[in-house]
Amino acid sequence: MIGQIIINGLLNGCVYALVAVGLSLTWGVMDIVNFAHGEFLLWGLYASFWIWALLGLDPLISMPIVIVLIFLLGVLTYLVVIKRVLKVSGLTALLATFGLSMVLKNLTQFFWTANYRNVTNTLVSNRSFKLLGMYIRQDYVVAAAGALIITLLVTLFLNRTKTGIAIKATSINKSAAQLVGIDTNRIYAITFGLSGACVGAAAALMASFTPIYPEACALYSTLAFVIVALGGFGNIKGALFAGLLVGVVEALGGYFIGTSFKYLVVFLLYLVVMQIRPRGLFGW
Amino acid sequence: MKKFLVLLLALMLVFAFAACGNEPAADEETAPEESGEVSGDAIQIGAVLPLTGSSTGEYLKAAMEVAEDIINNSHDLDWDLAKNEGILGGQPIELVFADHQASADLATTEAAKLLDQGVVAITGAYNSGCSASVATQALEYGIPMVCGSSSSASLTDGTTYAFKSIFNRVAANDEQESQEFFAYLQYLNDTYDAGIKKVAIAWINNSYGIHANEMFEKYAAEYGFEEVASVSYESTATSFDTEAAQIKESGADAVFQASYIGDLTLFAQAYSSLEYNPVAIVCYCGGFQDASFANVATDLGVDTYAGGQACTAQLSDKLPIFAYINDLYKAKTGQDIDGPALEEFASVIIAAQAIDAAGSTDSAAVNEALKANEFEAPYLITQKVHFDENGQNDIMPAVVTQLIAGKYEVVYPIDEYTTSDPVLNK
Amino acid sequence: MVVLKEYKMALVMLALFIGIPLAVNSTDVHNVIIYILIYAMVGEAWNLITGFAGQTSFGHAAYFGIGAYTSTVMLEYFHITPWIGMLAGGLIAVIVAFAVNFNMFKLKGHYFAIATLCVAEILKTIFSKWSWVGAGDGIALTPINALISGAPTSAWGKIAWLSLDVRNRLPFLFTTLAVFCVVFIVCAALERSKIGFYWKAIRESHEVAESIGINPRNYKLLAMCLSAFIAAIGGTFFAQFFKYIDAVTVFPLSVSMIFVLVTVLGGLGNVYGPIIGSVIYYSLDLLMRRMTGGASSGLNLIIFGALIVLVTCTEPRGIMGIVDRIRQSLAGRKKVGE
Repeated sequence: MIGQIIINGLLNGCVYALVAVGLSLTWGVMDIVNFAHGEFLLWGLYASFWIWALLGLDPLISMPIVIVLIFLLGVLTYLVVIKRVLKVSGLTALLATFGLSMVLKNLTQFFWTANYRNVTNTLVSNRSFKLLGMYIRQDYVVAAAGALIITLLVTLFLNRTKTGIAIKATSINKSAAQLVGIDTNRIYAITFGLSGACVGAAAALMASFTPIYPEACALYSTLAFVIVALGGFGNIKGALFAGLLVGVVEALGGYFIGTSFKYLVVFLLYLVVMQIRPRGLFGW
Repeated sequence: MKKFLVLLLALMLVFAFAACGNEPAADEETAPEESGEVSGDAIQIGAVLPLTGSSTGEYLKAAMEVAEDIINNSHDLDWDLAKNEGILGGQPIELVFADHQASADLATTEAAKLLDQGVVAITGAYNSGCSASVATQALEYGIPMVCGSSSSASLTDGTTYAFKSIFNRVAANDEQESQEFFAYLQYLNDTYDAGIKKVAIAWINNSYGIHANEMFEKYAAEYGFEEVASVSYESTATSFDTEAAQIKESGADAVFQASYIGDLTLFAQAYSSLEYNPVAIVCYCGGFQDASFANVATDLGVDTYAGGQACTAQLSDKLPIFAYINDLYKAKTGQDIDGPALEEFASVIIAAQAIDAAGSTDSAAVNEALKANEFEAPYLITQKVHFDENGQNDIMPAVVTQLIAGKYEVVYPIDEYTTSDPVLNK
Repeated sequence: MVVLKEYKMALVMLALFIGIPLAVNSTDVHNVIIYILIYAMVGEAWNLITGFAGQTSFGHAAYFGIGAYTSTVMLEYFHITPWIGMLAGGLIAVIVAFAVNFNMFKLKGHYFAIATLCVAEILKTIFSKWSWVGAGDGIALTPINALISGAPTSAWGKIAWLSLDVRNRLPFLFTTLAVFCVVFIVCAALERSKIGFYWKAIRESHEVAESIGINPRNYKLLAMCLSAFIAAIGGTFFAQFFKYIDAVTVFPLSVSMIFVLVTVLGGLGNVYGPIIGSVIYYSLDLLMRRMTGGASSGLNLIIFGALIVLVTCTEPRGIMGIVDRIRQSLAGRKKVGE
């Protein structure tokens, strides 16, 4: 049974990680606390749902469309809102994104009511296969694999492409980056878009097993904040491992201490780890 | 640009204060209405619902509006209330809605707003915690509250809260439901040789879940079942695999769920992924009654889920007035009326019946009428509603329904309203 | 005279806070003013640690909730007046703040902010499972009129005199206002004191502060404890106002965020910030709710959110930024005139 719990925790952790990677980009790289991150995820879920409901496309197939849509949402958010609050304290950006999150969340309610929606009859069912006596859910495995692949792609993008390196340079020193001719405005817009793209991918992967309603993403975004800090800001690898760790700790804590306490264990973990490593697990 | 903004902000503020300033004017208009005994004006009944947020407030609102329609207009039914226009000899009622967004503090202020406006009775509030907030306010004004679908036993246990004199609840509470569920399990054992011995419960950690769990434990012992697991969880959790695994590990033959729709869906998925098929899964009113759960169960291909319901669309043939109401509701919302919606519908009807019985809108008289009368309810299987001294509807207002092939079939108690035999996992 | 001039704005606002509730007899207006005062109070508390000492807290709901629970438990279980409960709650909040943050200031910036968030979330879980304080049921305060009519506890009605009588909110409103004034004066005094100066020094530069002989950690800890005390007082008033508390109403992130929002909206690091932000936040909230009617489908929150975005985008320094600019432009015009 322990193996079962750990496997479930790991698979769940992969999804956390993917959401957190998106947040890590904007928060770690740009130092902008995007409070609307969870709402990006929500819009991704709704996009997946409606494409499935109206066009009959499975969320996994429509993933590229959702990624592009949420990428655009991210870029738009930057151009319309974030750009204007960049020069002042980070808390102002937080206020602006909080307002944005209210708008985005309640728009879903306004358009599509607060009803729970489910994507059913998916390509990958929520049946499970047996491995070493453990039940492993197919949809979780696909989501986890997708999360790992996309995290890898994002890391490669940041390390191997010109734009990626420009993003890293901007995060280390904005004015120096400007001096060497990097259009930081464009870089920021791309970072925000990329953050949205990660969340869009996460949404497409989650859509088959998450009930979709306006409050669906509240805890995902809170956990993403903790995971990003736990892994160390601006550290994609850190976010990935912290996500996995949180998934496992949540599952084990829930199993041994009581399921009502499973998130308490996660928050406690953060406080304890921070006492030992004040800049996160992988922070420098 | 900057000047424009300053101007805009100044305007907004002036606007805000002007709007606030307008409020008293509105209050003054309504004040005489409150004191006037029988004027031609509509009788205002307040309704506090979770219109914004994660619950199904819009549906409850639609059901209440159907009730308003039934009361105010003449309908060709064998029911005086529907046949006549209005109450107290032709006075229409008017529902005044307020939105508590599923938060107890907003429920308090929004209820106070309605009460100050002079509503004669107040209905709502779906979430048990919010209902308690609204009732606490109503008590301070002495205004009667008819609560539709909140199911926490603590609301009507007479000791937890102080408001029993003004509070009345239509829905079955979890105590009545627990008794009925265990009787149902016993019936399965006796008639179908189901062999249910061990029982487990998964409950959401809020007012609703806590009391469902208490009652589950009490009656499990009383009916001689062995309780093997009691798993609580937070409503916001992202997955319930650990919880489901614990329940599976306990080896329960029957699982009780005190869950809302989102968590119940995730539980159902987790159970089926673990290939865990208990003989019966019984749900306290809540998520089970939500029409979208029928789709989930169909998708998973399980017929195991059963639960308490005030009514189901399958009963349309047997209850013509219910069928008529369901048609009106369906025209508004596009789906069949479910348990909570029917209970909210009933709450408005009963409030009107009580005012009618009291002969005036005087709150003391209405409070007395609510406790003293037995109300005609031809839309319910029980045909009647009666409140005991703590405000609980003591004519068992729910039947056990089971989701068989995506339809809510009545499986227990066995009487003229039973529509199907139970389906068992063996 | 100098005092009058210096605190002209505060006095004008005080006059408005006394005048408006008396002039406008509406439940909505009274409710909203009480809301404004309670959240402004905690906003002032938050401003101490974040606006002055520069340590962002996303978890002030922790202390707010402790205050709410302590006073409520003392009143409901032991029949002790909330005035004492309020101070006891403050004291417990200070102890918790001290214990939790003793070793926490070695975390910098966002790491610290997330830690405060975790503290509040942990408390939320503990209180939602602690059956002595009602667990997920929460605690409902027995209404005053029930106390008075019920003979055995009738004496309790007298000691519970902070309790709000919903029929007449004015006494409660003015009590809240009086306590808010005290909080405001204390915060204004702190800002001008040596301590306030040290806090700002620490906020601007940790190293410089250390070099002039300040121990940043002790001063941050002091700011946190004072802040926790005030937040707990706010929590007491919250519990007395709503008469019903449970863990998810007083401890969640959304409550912590309200303190952040009202202060940042008004102007961070300015004693007027929280009250101005709170006034704008809650009057707009009410306005939107009333304009869209009861059945809103979230439209009120959409417009409300859009307005927040609009205000922050066009005036990132908060409302106090606008006030400053108007002042400057007026002063400039005067000079030109002279």
